[in-house]
Amino acid sequence: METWGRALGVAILLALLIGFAWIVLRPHEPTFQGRPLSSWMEEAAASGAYRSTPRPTGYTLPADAALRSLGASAIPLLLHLAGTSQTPFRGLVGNMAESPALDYLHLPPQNYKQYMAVRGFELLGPEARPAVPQLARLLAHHDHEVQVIALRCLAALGPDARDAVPAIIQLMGNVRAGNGSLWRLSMEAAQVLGEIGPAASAAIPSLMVETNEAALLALIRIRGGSFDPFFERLRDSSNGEQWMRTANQVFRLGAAAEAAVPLIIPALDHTNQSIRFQAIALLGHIHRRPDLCLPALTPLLQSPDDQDREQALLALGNFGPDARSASSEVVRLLRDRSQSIRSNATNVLNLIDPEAALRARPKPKSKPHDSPAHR
Amino acid sequence: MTLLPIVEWELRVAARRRGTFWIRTAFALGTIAIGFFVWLDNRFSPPNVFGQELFGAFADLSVFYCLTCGLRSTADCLSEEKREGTLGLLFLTDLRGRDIILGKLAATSFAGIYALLATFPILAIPLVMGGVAVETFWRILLLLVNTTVLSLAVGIFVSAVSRSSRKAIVGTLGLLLLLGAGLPIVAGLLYDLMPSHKSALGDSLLLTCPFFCANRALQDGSNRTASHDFWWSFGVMHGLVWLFLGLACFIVPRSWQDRPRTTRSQRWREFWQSLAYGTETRRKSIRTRMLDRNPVFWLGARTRLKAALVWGTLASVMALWVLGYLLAGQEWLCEGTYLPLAILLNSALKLWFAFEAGRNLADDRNSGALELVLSTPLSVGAMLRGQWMALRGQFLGPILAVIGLHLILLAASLQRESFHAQPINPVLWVSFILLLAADVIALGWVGLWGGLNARKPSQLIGMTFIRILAAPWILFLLISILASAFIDDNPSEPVLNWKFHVGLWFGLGLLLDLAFGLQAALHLHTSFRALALQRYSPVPSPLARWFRRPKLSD
Repeated sequence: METWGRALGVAILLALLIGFAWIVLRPHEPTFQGRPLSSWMEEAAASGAYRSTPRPTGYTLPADAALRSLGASAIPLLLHLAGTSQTPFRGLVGNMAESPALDYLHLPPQNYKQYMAVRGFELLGPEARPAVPQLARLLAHHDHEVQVIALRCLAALGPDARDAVPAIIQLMGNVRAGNGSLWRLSMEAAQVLGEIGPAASAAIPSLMVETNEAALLALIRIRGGSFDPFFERLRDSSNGEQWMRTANQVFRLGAAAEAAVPLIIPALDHTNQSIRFQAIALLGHIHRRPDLCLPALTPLLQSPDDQDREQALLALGNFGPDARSASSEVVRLLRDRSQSIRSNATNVLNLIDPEAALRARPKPKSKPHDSPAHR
Repeated sequence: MTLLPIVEWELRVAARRRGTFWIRTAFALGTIAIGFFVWLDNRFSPPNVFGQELFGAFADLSVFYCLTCGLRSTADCLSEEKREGTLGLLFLTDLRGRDIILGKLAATSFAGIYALLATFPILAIPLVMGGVAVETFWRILLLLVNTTVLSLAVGIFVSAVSRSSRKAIVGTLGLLLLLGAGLPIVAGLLYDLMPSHKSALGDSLLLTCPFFCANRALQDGSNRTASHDFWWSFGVMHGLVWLFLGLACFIVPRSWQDRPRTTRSQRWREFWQSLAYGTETRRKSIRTRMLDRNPVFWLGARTRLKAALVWGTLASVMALWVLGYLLAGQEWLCEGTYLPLAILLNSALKLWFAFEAGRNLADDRNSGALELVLSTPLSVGAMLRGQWMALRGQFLGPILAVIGLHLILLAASLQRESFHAQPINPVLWVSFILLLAADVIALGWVGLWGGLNARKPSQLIGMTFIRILAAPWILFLLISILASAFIDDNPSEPVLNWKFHVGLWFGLGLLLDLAFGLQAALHLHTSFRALALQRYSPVPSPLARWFRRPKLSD
């Protein structure tokens, strides 16, 4: 009897150990080149890729390649990232994860999770359509930050997020019924509806009630009207806040805002630094009309202000080979006093003029033992 | 009329004890040594920054020391008297519960408080350096005294309600852990799980924690919120002191008498006995089988509940880990949770093992049973073998299970490190497994030796804990600081990497295991009988012999 009891105990123990091994060792997510997807994304987060906002077009992260390769199988992880609430404990873990001394603990970075999720859905595009119902469910989450991220993920999917329109309308209704402090939510919701376009026509009555720029633009996009009246708001930069709000919405249109370029260029000389930066970033993001943009942006590469030079450099990078005429100025920035500008200049030169980049590459010094005297 | 007669008597006794003064000197020297190592780490900092660091280090270490005072001093003071039947004698006089509690408090805490007082002048040194406000200094001093009294009050309260030494020590440890770490952890969980309630409930749970109070005291004096939190926390802890002392005064006169068993209590007793020892038939079969192998083995291993408790503790820790996994998902699966899990399991297992290793011998020595056993033909070797067999029966399974767990975590680590060029984690897991085995063997010998030497159960745990578990870490820290200082002063030397730190930690652990384990084994094999009879002719320790004042007759 006692032997049987002991055998049973050993069997239970073995079963528990096997259960623990199953929890710890089984693959929890899809892998790319033998590494889990989160590991690629964590590496990108650790390198600061999700921290610095502007990145020249054409520069892809290894994590982006992993995401594109894995396709729809990455959706569960992206949904998990999007649905994570930021709590004090997560904040603590996130700070520890950023400490190089604790690198060996492999703590999951917390501070850029949401950006990872949005970036992931941007890259997957229509492939991520099966995630729409779950993202719509996140709109009812108790944490407003999660709601905002779910909206941004839906916006990244564009017209493929049309199934989420009823949930977005309901969210806008709840925000209106609340104390009005959640205006950011209604703006983000309007932006999603604008990205969805005509398929979101059911939301027109809800948008009509809103007064913000996002709702205005969303209505134009849903109805298929002309953007020109909206762009006209950029002509007057005397009210800085309103100009910035309008510019933020124009930014979302990307290349479709080509007609706004002549209205943005005057803002490059604005005395307000925020407006100036936004104008530079907008021109780079739209990257149309190089005939107008390059003569306006290239002189900024000689600006005494480090940030002006860097923003202009990144904007020019987005024009690709069209900005070849600025390559001599970019080559000069390879010896800039700012390390960040030097590094960005290398990347941008590769994008706009690969031949100039080759010529500018420092020649490898011959090793002493290679010289004839040492042979 | 003499106010508090026992207190006065105990103070007179302590004032005549040589150790009282030596403890004060030792603590002052220890604090100066800690200050030296903090200076080494901050010697390039401006004086005010160094002053802040020094004061912060002193404050944290002192708070930890004060919090453990009750465990060392008062946890078993009343329960021991109950076991020996001397508490009732005190109540035959006109002494009241209050006199006994305050007398015991004075008697047991005198050395600890005296040692703490010795550190106060050294704590004031950072004041001269700048960076520490006078207000902060006085707040920390107040906090240290308050924490000491709170810890002593907790110990005396648990001792008043307990009879067994083990229950008293575990109860005190549990209550102190609850106040110092348990409630802050619950507060953290509340902040995390229910952000909307964080300001009310979570904040109030932090007030009982001396470390929270120290943190608030160390904040800038102009920080009104910190000052408010400090005084609230101080007040709550002080309230708890009076609560525990009041409860102890109320309970003591009512808890020492032997009461006739009721049918219900008898039934409970029988239930627990059958649970611990099994049925009559089982007991008989075990007795026959074990006595044939080794009588000491039978004495130590006949309780089956002992092993079940170890398994239960391991299962509880694992259940908490699995709960964390269920809440956090796959993010839980990283070294950030694996290493604390392993450290928790290993430490719990080692501490328990250290306590169990010496407990039987200590109990038998105190009750006189050891003398009886020594007068039988049973050899010392057979007695030690029996003790080891009993320990094996209780701990071998849990230790193997923990090693199995470590192997799984090693495999997980290898799986992850296949794409990280950092072999530190696999090396750490192998070191964990080897050190667990080495520590357990050393703890066994040191625990058995401690069982014959320690005067109190808390001393037995302290002796083994300091030698095998704490000493390697203290040495590791000191050598690391010295090595870093040397490297900083000699830029041509290579920078210390993880190999140095892991190697140092592993090497020191193994070295001390070998040194203390072999010494204890040798002592036990060669002078077991002399050690067992020490209570009749106590032999002073080498340190005590060194500081002994020569008698006039010498």
